[in-house]
Amino acid sequence: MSLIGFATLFAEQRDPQRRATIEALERQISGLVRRNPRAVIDERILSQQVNARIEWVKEALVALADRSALRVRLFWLCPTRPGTVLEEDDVNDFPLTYECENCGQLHHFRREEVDVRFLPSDELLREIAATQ
Amino acid sequence: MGRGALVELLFQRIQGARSKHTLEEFLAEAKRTQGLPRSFVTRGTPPVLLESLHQAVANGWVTETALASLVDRIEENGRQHIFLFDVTDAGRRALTAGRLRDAFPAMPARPTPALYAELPAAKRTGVAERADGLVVKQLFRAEYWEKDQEKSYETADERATVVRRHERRAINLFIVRPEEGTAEVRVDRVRSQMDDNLAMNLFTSFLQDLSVAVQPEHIEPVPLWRALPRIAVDRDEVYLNADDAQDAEANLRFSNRRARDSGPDIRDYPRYTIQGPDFYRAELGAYWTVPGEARRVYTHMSIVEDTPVGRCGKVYISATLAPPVLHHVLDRIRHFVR
Repeated sequence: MSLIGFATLFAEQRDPQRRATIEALERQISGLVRRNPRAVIDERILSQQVNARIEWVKEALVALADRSALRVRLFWLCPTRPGTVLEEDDVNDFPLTYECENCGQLHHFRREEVDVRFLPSDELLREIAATQ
Repeated sequence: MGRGALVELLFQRIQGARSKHTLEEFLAEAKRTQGLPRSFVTRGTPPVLLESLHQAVANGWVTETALASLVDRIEENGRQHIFLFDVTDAGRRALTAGRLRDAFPAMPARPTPALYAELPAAKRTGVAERADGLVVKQLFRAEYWEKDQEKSYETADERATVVRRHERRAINLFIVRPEEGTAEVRVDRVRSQMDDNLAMNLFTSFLQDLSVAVQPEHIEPVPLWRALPRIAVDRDEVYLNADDAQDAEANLRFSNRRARDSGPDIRDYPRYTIQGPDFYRAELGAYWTVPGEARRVYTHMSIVEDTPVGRCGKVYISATLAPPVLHHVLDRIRHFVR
């Protein structure tokens, strides 16, 4: 347990099962980020990979964002076919309309089409790069 | 219409094309090259820029013709569906400046309010000889139907969709470069999105209008279907966010979870499998790295099977581009055909 944020989270956690989950999350996330520093950190996938409840995985990711290991990123998903229209840090930064390069259509912004996910923080990226 | 009114009309065309930044560059260039007063403003809000334009024209620093050329540059390069052609031997003999002038009236040498009105009163087709080739330009009023987002509604018990007719100023171009043996048909996209049905209707209609001088035997579609597989494997100047293909058994699509070009090229995805001659692409969305440009240029290339000139390739460009940038991208696409 060595990466920024994970150690703190682990130390704060008393439940052995959740501690094991934090360890597993660190392995999964560090492995993912080493392969692709720009990958999306998605609690739905992690929940399957570490075999833990999705609610708790999301809680852990939010906690890791608070501890600067991750950062929140908003993805406006294309309603026409799989892909992303735009991504921003703040929901208010999305334009009212946008011509989507994923499908060629003009989309009108709807909050329901925004997914909240996570990306590795710059600090985490630096830490991982230093250990490679 | 007074002189100031024409300047205002040209300014509205630039505004309509959302090209404020291009206008600011134009004014800054004039200021720099002519040593204009420091007080001459080249950036600001629309009213400020319009005032600067009036000042520039009144003082002879900028002519209406130069301003109209700027509008042409903005309106004619990008936001189009572009069909690439090679000129046949018959075409080289037929598509000369003289023959095109016989078939179409000359475009006015000076800008007129009719040419730059928001909604043209009538369809106009004219020819001009320019540095970049012989150009047949068609100005018209295009119409389309689109959902009215404000009037449409959905409640628990009722849904209503209101579709409204819109009209918009549109420009089609036929550009032939006899020395290079190439030609292009550029069809206005009209809407703020890629509407292939509308594009093909306008393409067909424009070809019909061109047929007084341009026959199918004069131009041959560039076989874009040969280029797509080659573009799809290029790593020097092409970035892919997504890739779609089909083989004999399956349809495949790989698309980045990150938007535009924020993520790694999708071909770097470890499980990407669209490789080799077994896969056919009917379309490809590629981001082009253009030397000297900070942002990549996005193009959506597709094969259209049934057109008045046979199987065709179409290049859709959503952005307004500087002419050299557009020319570079189209030239690179042609390169991958050979």
